[in-house]
Parts: sequence; C-alpha cells; structure tokens
Amino acid sequence: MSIANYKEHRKAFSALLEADCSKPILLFKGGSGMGKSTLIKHCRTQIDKDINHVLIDLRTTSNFLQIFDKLAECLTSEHFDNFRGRLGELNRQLNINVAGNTQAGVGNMINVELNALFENTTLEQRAERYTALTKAWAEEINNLDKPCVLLIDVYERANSEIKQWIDGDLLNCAAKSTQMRVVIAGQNLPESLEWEHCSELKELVGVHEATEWLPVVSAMGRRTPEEPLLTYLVAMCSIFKGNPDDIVKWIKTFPPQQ
Amino acid sequence: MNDKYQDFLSKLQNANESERDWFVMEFSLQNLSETLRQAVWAAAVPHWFDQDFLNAVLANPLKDSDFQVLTELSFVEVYPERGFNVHERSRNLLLTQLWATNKTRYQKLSKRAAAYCKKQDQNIAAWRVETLYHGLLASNSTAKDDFIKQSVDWHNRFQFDNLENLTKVVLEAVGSGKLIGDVAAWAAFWHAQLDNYYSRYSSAQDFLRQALNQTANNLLVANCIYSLGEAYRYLSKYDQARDSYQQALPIFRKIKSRLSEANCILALGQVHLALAEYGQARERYREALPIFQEVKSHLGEANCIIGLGDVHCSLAEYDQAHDRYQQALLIYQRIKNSLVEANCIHKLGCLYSAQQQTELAIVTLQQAAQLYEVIGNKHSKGHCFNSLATLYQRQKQFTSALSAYNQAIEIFPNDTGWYQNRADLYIKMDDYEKAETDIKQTETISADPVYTLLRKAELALWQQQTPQAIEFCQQALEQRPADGNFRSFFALTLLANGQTQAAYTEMEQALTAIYQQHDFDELLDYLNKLAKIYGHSADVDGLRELILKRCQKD
Repeated sequence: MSIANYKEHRKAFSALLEADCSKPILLFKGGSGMGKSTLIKHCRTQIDKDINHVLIDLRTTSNFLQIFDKLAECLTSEHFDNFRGRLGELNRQLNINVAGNTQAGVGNMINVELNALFENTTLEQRAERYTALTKAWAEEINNLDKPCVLLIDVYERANSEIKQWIDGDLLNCAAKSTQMRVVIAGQNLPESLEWEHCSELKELVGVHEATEWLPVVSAMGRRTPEEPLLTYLVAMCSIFKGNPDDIVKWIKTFPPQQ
Repeated sequence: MNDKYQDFLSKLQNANESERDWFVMEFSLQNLSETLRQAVWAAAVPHWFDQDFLNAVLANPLKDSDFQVLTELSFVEVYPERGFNVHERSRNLLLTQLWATNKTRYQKLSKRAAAYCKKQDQNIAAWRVETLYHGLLASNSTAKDDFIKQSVDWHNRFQFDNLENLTKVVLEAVGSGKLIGDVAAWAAFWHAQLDNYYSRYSSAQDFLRQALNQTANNLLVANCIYSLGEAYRYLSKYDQARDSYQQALPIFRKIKSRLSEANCILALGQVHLALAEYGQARERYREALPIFQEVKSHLGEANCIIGLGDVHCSLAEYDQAHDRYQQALLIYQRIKNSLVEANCIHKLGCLYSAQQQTELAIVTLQQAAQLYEVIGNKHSKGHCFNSLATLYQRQKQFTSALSAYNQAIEIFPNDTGWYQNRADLYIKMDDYEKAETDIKQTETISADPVYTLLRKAELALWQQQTPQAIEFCQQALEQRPADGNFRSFFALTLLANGQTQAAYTEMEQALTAIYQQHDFDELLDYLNKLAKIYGHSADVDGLRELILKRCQKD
C-alpha cells in the first residue's frame, strides 16, 4: 500500500519490532483525517509472517470478550492450553460453575468460560478479573520466542471500561514484558506515569512536502490536471495544510493515467 | 490549467478553513455520477453500512458495480465485521450539510435506517443503539420514550458499555444541534452518571450543567442537581454538595418521588457527617429513615442506620454505635447485598479499633478485607488495610502501620487519603522528606485537599515555620469549622507563634468538639512534641491541663 511520508513514525515502528526494543509502547496521535489508520495498516504490512500480531479496531470492539477473542489469536496451541487452564482456575477460585454451559463444545469452551466469568458482574468485579486474565495472557506471551504485536486503532472510540483496561492492565503488562509490543493510534491517547518511560509518542501533523505525494498520485493511477505536477502539488499541500484526508480526496478527482 | 481545477483552486484559496473542508467534499461529489452521489449522502447517515443496509436507506437498490465504486472512494473505509463506513470527518461534513440544506431528506433517510435496524436482532446492542439513534433523528413518535426506557434498563443492569455507546451517538447528534430538549438532556445526564462512576467528576459536572440547560422536566432537573451534588461530594466540595442536595430536595418532594427524596436527605446527612456536624447529620438520618421504610427500600434503611452508627461512633458513644451497626448488618444479610455487608463489617472493625479492642478489631478488619477480595472490590480492600494501619499507628507500632499503609497503596494506588495518612505517619516518625513526597502525591490526585492542608500545617509546625502552619490551618478550618481536631491543631500553631490568648480560646472551642480518646491522646502527643521543639512553658502546661480536664469529664 502507498503511504506518503510519516517516515519517522515508520522508523519508530521498525524499532519496536527489534528484539532489544527498550520502549515496547508506541503511540500515534493525530486529528481526524491525519492518516492514523492508514499508518497502522501500513505498519501491519511490515510485520514478518512469523511474528504474532493482532489488530484491534475499537470501533467494533465494545466488550472484553471480543478483546480476549482477539488476544487469543496471538497464542499458539500449547500456550493457549496454559491460558485456558488459568481461566478455568480463576472460575474455580471464584466458585463459578460453567458445567451447565458446556454443550457448546470443546472449541468454544474458552468462550463459555469467559462468559461465565463475566456474567452478572459489577464494574469492579470485572476490572479485577481483567487484571488476572491479562496477567495470565502476558505470561504466555513472554514465553514466546518472538515478539507479539498488538495494534490498537481508534482509541478515542473505546468505551470507558476498555479504556481503563488499556491504560492500566494492558500497558502495565507491556511495560514489564519482554515480548509484548503495543501500538495505539487515536485522536487522544492513554497517559500514565506508570508506563510512560516505556513509551514513545509520535504525532501525525500531516504531510506537507509535495514530493512525498508524487508516488501516491502514481500509485492511485492518476495524473495531474496540469503540468508541472510538483508545482501543482506544492499549491495543494499548502492549501490543505498537509491534511492527508483532503489531499487524497483531491487526488481522487484527478483524471486517470492514460 | 484545466478551468475546472483552476476555478476550484482559487475558490479554495479564498475560503476559510471550515468552508474549505466542505468545498473539497463537494468537489469530490461533483466528480461522481448522480446515482453514486445519492449513495454517498445515504451512506453517511448510518454509522456503518453494507449493501443491504444501504439499499434500505436509499430505497432503490444500488447496482453491485456502483456499490463497489462507492466502497473504493477515498473517504469510505472498511468497518470491521460489519461492512463499511464513511470516514468520520467526511461523514460529519455530509451530515451537517444535509441537515442545513435539506432536513426533510435527512429525516427521511433516518426513518428508513431506523426501520431497517428495527428488523435486525435487537438483542445485539449495536443494532439496538443504531435503531434508537435513527429513530430519534427521524423524530419517530416513540423514539424519545424508547431511548429513555432503554437507557434506564441498561443503567439498572450495570450494562454501562451499552449505555455509553448509546449516549455517545446521541450526544454526537446533540453536539451538532440535531437533537435538543429532553433527549439531549437525558443523554447528557446518563453520560454524567457514567462520568461519576469512572471518577471523571469535572466532566460529569459539565454534562449535568448541559442537561440542565436543555430541560424543564422536574424529575430530570432534580436528578441532575442531585448528581451534581454527588460529583461535588466525591470531590469533597461539601458546601457545593450541600447546596445541590438542598436545591434538589424540594423538587423531589414536589413530584412526590419519595425514594429520591430519602436519598437526598441521606446524602445531606453524609455531608454533615464529613463536616463533623454530628447533630445535623443525626437529624438528617432520622428524617430519611422512615421514608426508606415507607417505600420499603431496605438498602436505604440500612444505610441510614449505618449513618446513625457513624454519628454515635464519632461522638464516642460506642455501645449505641455497635447496636446500630449490628442492626444494619442483619438487614444487609437479609437482602443478600455482600458489598454493603462487607462495608458494615469494616465499620465494626473500626469501632473495635476505637474501643481499643485490638485483637477483635484486627480479626474483623481482616474478615472485611477477605469479603472485599471475594467481591473483587480493590478500593474497599485497601480501606481495610488503611484502617489496620490507623490502628497500629494509634498504638505507636509504626513499622506495622507503615507496612499496612504500603499494602493499602499497593492494592489501590489512587486514594488520596492513604497518602495523607502515611504522610502523617512519616511526620510522627520524623521522616519529613518522605512525608513531603506523600503530600505531593496527594496533590497530584487532588481529592479532599483539606487533609493535605492539615498535613502541610503539621510539617510546617514541626519545622518551625509557624506563619505557614497558621495559614494552612486557617485554610483547612474554613472548610471544616466544626471539626475539633482541626481547631485544636490550629490552637497549637497559635501557641507556637506566641499568640497565647488566641491559642487558649481556640483550644477551649476545639475541646467542645473532640470526643474520642485516641484524638485526645494524639493531641497530648502533639503538645509534648511542641514543647520539645519550641521549648517548655507554663502555657503548654496550661493547655495540657485543659485537655486532661476535658478528657476526665468524659
């Protein structure tokens, strides 16, 4: 996929994938239309196939069960068993009976156990259980021999419960983990003194350099309505103040390449 | 340059920022066919769409090829698991424009969207939210009632994530002026409730004021004012909290909402208790109790009894306090509310601690901590360790006290009170540096600054900075004029500053509002420390005599 500039941000992402990465939390902050989602998608394409990764889009993630479904994707089968074991242990500790719900089958057992754990719970009970499960999951991730990357997009859309989990449990675990890496993009972002020293913040302020848009015009199969293209792009970048949403919309109106 | 582009470029150059955003969008639309243009307008109405949903909104099926072109537009993006959506920024531009230029068309599209959503599984929260949202924008006849009913239901079932998603989308339409009046007010009220639950008190206050500006509905107005009081109370701004409750109370009475009336009186009692106005607190609890009994709210009834127990405990009427707590405990056990049951056991632990029944106090506090552990309530579990720490501190077992405060903070790091208390312990251990660190920490959390002021006064007094100590005490006393402990410490600062007569006057007044033995003991310890730092004098002995006389009288 084509992406105009944001080289510094991409470089920070590459550093995040290094084995000896010292800042496992990378934050992308920018207003609507600044290209955060495009950047996240681009980053995803840069991850080697043998590195576990998962994208959590918070527009469609409204509860924790959905999140754990996604997190489970990062676990290999042997670690998945361990995680499931811990989940069962938690249900037993809390005297939660899941036996009546097992007709769903072995494959769905984890969902059954998760549902049982969170059914009819108060905010505080859920928060406590999120902590226990996140720690269990993070332990499994630490046992992997490669990093595991979590990409979280549209942070500002998350509900308060999920935000609390991200700001606390998840990022605290990431700060202490050897293998967990977390990238979060949003118009606003989590803040905490607890893990701040392990994070890198990169702001997206638009792409103002006209030359950066040349390959994008070409990749979109367009040609400039007027030559020279660069002069035209300079005027465009100035008017749109580098806003990628406006610039791409504008390029889309160009005539197709012959 | 091509004329079309040249004209447009000059139009952009002369436009302001908001006009420019729309011109770009408009230019993009002009480059599309009429069919696609209509499809874009329709696609902007829902938060997401697939071909089926979009066809329903359009009322004319879109050809597959047109739908394909639509999804490839730069401002249309994939919406995971549900299809596509118009990018937020473009969607806002389109909806604002459509509302401003053709509201009838907007509402027609919303009506179709609502009808389509209603046919989907309403047990799926996302569909339910979308149904209600479009219904409100289409001004459907039952939309307002459906919205209120659903929000009440989700609130009462603790489904705060669903309630938040619903209020967010409604408030988005409120923000752009598409929804006003009661709907806007209810949405802001629910959002504020969630803010209160998540400790975002400043945001809660903003939303409540916003709600109050939108409605004349008495029930909602009273609830908003009451919630404002709650936000103030959580922030320890007791004067404002009291004003809010007092304002809400006659409205609840007028609309004959007895339960809310009782809750309001109970809250007033809690404000009085926090301000050490024990007589008024007792009156309020006694006033609320029969109303709770009348409406058969056992929880409210037990909470009033607990409040009465707290008043007795503060006045060192320990036997009566014990009876009240036991009475409340039976009710909590009967209604099977394990959280309040644990709260009650915690209170009993604190009572035993005040009565110096040390072993029983420790066992009871540990029992409460275990109950909180099972419930999963970290904050309250931390409270138990804080109470244990207080017990050890009173017995001058400073190492055990420190360990218990540390445990409380480890369990729940965001309670200001524990840092304030640990600072007090450090001051008693003469470790002023650590005390200052904890005081700074309380200021970052910034709740209940009055105790932070008292700690600062202590620190200043022991470091022989008496003018500062006096100033901090005066600031604290402004907020807690009825609190004997605050006033007695103020008297000590005056004595250290050579204002002997004023010190006597303040101490005499303070001693009429100190009741518990551990408070007298602490005051005598302070006096000894004062003599050690500032030198022994006849006035120190004079004040000691006053205190001992008052102690013996009790």
